Amino acid sequence: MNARLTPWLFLMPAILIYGIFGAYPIFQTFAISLTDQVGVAAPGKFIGLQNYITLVQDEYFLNSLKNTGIWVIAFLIVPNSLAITIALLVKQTFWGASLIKTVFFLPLALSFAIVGVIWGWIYEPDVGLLDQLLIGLGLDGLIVEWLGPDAATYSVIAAAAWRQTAFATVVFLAGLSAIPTELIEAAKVDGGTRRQIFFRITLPLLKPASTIAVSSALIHALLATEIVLTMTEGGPFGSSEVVGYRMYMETFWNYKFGYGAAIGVIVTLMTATMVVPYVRRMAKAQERDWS
Amino acid sequence: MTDMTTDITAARTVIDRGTLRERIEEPLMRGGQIGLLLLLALVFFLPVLGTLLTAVRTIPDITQNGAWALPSSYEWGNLGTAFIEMLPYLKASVIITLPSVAGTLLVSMMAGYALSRMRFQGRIWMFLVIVSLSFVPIHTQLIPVFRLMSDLGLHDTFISQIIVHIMRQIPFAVLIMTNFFNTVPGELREAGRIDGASEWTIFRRIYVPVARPALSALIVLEFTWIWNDLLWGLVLTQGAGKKPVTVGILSFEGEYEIAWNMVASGAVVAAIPTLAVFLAFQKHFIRGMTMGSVKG
Repeated sequence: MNARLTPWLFLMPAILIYGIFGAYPIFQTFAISLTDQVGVAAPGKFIGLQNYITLVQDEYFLNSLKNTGIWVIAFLIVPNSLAITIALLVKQTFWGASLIKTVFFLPLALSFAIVGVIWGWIYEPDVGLLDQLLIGLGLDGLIVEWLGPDAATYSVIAAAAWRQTAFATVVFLAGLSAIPTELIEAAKVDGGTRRQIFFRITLPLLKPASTIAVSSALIHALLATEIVLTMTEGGPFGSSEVVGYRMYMETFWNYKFGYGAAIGVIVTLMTATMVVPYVRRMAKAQERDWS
Repeated sequence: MTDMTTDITAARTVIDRGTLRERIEEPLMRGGQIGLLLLLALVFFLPVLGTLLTAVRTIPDITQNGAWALPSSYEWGNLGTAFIEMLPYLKASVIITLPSVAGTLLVSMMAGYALSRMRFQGRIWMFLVIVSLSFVPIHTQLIPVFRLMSDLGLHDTFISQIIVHIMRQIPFAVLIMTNFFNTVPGELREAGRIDGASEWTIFRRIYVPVARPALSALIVLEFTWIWNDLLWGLVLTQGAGKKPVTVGILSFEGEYEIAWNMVASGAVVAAIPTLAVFLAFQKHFIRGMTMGSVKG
């Protein structure tokens, strides 16, 4: 076997499958976004950037863009701060820690379809689990129409955050275990307060874990298609639509392939800018390993 | 003399305060932490608990006694009915998921081996492309893949879903395998080479067997992710026969609408395969996740 060819033979199956069914479609999506294609039957006519021009004036799209912004902000804050809290607490408690961990990790095993179905029942007016819980606790005053036009976006975010928190907890727990205990002990001996130890030692050393948790939160917030689809179908009246869901709707419900492709391109560009720090970190680590 | 006494008294106060802190403040703090943790765990678990409770009750029971009461009678038959109705979808999910996982493993082991163990031009570049590809949103691939599968006459088949799942999982799986093979000592390969073994033999006889820990983690993760996919299952299928269980649960929900005990039963039945795998192999699952830590 030719030595120069061997690595490429081993890479061939991956390159072929990804090339044909993954990479080539990416370029095609860019090309389709410049056409007015409707459905799959016939290719559309080239219309330049017309789809993108229409998009910036499309109220539905702008509304979904606004909601995606809310998703991103909420997803950066809520699951990550919850997960850090949980990870720190679990790390300090030994009694029953593994059972507790299982409880927090459990949502990772569930699909968005199931999370959507479960939380749909939670938010059901009057008879749903949440309303019944609030009534039981005497907190009826807090009840709103969870999946109504005003609250739907936030309610869906809460459901998705439940799952995202599970992921972030895994990441932060792994990050915490990587911090040598001697370091914390030494700081305690030197008279460091809890607060000082947390902000000066623990938090800075959690930076790699944070990069991962933040990138993941950003990506899930930007895409968020499946959970919106299962819980609200973007409704009521499009109030809970996000960009990724909009793309799905325009393409597979309205059959506006060209227009949907343009939204797909925008989603991809947004994701690309978000993951740059993560990819750079991976590149650095790998170069270190291989040099 | 007086100075010394003051010093001693001062020192004693410090000591006393120290013990006071150890005796009262620390346990209080710890108790508070455990309490907070248990409360968080309970809140976190409520959705699952509520679903399990609802699944085995009757509708009159739910409306009369509220959603959080214990069942007045346990209706295990709900789960049986849901299972029978979900069976075609569950079957489809098995037919789609198992070959997808196997294919992903084979392809990514080979690629990861090459990237990790061979020196060649464009290696770093190739690796970075693969890492970046693991972030490509499904949205840039949906339309052309849908079109391509229709052109190939593969719309509404299992094979189209299998190919697409392997494609989507390649970047992450290659990343995991590359990182794993990086940790395997290079002497193994040198030893094989001296014995005159071909690259393929070294890979198959030496590297595949040592990769077992990485493989078990990868199998658990890939099984869960592929099983749980929804969008491809929606886009690439037409009739009920080829739809995975994630799509099935949605039509099940549509069918039963406000019969929440049945909807909950459907959710439980649909979740059991991945839940069982997760509970049985939680360690592998978590290890795989921290090895690659890309998705959620």
